[in-house]
Amino acid sequence: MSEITLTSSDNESFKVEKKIAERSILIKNMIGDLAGDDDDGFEIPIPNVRSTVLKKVIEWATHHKDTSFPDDEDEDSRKSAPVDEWDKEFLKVDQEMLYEIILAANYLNIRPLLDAGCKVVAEMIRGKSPEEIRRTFNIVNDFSPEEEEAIKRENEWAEDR
Amino acid sequence: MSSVLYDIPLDTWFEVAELLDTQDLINLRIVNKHFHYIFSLNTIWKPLATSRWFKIDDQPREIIKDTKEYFAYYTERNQIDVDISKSMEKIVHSTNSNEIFEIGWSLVNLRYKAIPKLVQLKSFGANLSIKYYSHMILCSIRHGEVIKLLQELGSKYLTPIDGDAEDLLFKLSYIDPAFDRLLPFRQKIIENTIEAVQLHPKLDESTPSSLRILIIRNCLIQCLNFQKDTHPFTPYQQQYVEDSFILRVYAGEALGSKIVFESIVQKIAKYFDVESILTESFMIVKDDTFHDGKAYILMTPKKAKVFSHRHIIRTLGLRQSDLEKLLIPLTNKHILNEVIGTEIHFGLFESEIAKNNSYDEIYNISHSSIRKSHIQFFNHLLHAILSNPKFSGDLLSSTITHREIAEQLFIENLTRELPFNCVHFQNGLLNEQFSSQQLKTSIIKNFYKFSHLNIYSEDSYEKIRTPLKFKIGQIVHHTRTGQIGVIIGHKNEYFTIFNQYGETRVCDKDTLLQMQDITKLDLHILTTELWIGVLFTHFDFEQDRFIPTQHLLNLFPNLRIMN
Repeated sequence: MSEITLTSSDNESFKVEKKIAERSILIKNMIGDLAGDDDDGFEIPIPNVRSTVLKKVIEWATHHKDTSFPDDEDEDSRKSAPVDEWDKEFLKVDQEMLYEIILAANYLNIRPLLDAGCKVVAEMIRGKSPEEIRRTFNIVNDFSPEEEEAIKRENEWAEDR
Repeated sequence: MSSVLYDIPLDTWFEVAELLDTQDLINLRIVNKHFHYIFSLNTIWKPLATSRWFKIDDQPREIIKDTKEYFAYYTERNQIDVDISKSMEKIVHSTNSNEIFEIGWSLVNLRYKAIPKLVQLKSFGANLSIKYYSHMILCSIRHGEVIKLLQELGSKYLTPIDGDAEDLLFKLSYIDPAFDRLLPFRQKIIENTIEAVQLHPKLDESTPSSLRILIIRNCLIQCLNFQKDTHPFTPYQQQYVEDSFILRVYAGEALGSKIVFESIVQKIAKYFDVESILTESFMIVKDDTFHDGKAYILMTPKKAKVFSHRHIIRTLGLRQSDLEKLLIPLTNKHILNEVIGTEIHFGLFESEIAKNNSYDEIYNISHSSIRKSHIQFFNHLLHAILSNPKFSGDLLSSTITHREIAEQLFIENLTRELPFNCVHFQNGLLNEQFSSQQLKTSIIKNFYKFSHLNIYSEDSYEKIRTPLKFKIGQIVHHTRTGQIGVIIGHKNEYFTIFNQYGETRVCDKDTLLQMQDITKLDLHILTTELWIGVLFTHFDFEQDRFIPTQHLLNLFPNLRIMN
């Protein structure tokens, strides 16, 4: 079994190398469970992911098929590592796509892709004022003026570091 | 319509939150109701609070466990930290001794809550005075905890220890002035030993408990030896080793007594499911390979031997009843003795006091080598224990007749070495016969006299005609001994220096030369003894000297001529 077929929610199929598909721990475990089924036409439906997104995810996995990522357990180095340059370019997509990539990475259990996605979202927030965050995510402020005043007061402390 | 990104799963938001600064999280709370909900959740604030304040082992863990609202907790603790920083700024800029002590005492009363911030200020503060006062207040807070613990142990003097011996010994080591430096070694040694034991070829599920203990002992010794070899410390530090403190053992700076060593083995054994009882002679473990189900282990860092019950009786020729005495679990008395380190009889203590000898001298004949300045603290504790009626009986059979002498010494020591400790009187932690107000007044009046420093005195001021050879704060080296030091005072032909060992020395002006090309290492050596911060705020590279505090110049106006 060297190639696997992945089928998106909208019924588009992608043939991928086993090694690439196994970047997804979900798929890896599925293949593992079915080990012994020694036939090449192995097909896995990915019902939660649209074809355009699945294509992106496969593109990512293909690029990273030989990358060695820090251990899942090693939270510190996973979180402190900067986003890889290629990933940064790769994730320069609209918010809709970023959202779907994050969901897909979450569902397929692709830790490094999910981490990169989180880092990109964090970058969108870091150092911004509440108003700027609202604009970034197109969020309407649904607090009444009194409520907002109360929260601002609650927040009125300088971080002491 | 808001962006879809907004709808990513909650777990993902938590991961994003971990990548952000606290200020970002605060900002997110104002964005809208949904974000306010997400970014106020305990899932986000609990880890932040834990990593910020509960990394140090001397914070009461139950606090963080029992908290309900972590955002509120975070806000409250953050505010305390802000206030501590402000208070410390006030202290170091104050020229009023009264104010300095009042603020200091109020900080001591914050107890454990002040510790993380003070540790940070002490370790990373740029200002020498901030480092000094943080350290002193930190010491007093920890002393307060130790005093409480000692009183508790003392009131249950003959009862078996409650909980782990290692834990008690660790808590008692709070009084080690190097606590913060030594703390990381505890975890390191324990983790390394556990790892070594896990990898040990003889260890498997069927390994009997007694053999497990021996394996643990061997691995622990290896780890400690490795620690000793890789953690060289100067002879200067060596001479101040405090054998009785368990942290010194972890750091490879002291060998440790039998009890200290066994208590570490006991703690590690728990990770390997071996429960044990420590007694004065043996460590007893449950072991089915022995006929009465117990193995008796005799153990020191130098040797170890496992006995069966019969074997002990045969080898040692003991009667059953004598043996039973040896098998009584360790009591609080043993732990107290370990730390107070007094093998001396209290009768001897009394007769020494009667001979008008100070506690210092008595301690010099006790078995534990305690750092000189620390003796003061032990005096203090001993005094507290002795003067408390609860401790009469076993510990002390008759009252001390020369209490006044002891008290006088005690007050002097307290003023000189631990001025912030006097809060513990007012909190009822120590003997109430002292009026804390009186004590406070005396401390405020006397602390900044520095009578032992020969700080530039009144009469010599008149005689100065030619400019002085040195300015206050300049770094000099002694031409004969090679010692380096900082000029802190002057009298006639002599200058007082504060040397690299933290001592003050009076030297003839001709034996001193100003040091050129001062390196970072020189400054590091000279500022290791934090006490320098009571005199100077920082080293000024342009003027090539330490800059005295405003408070010092106000207290000793004549110093201005040297400034």
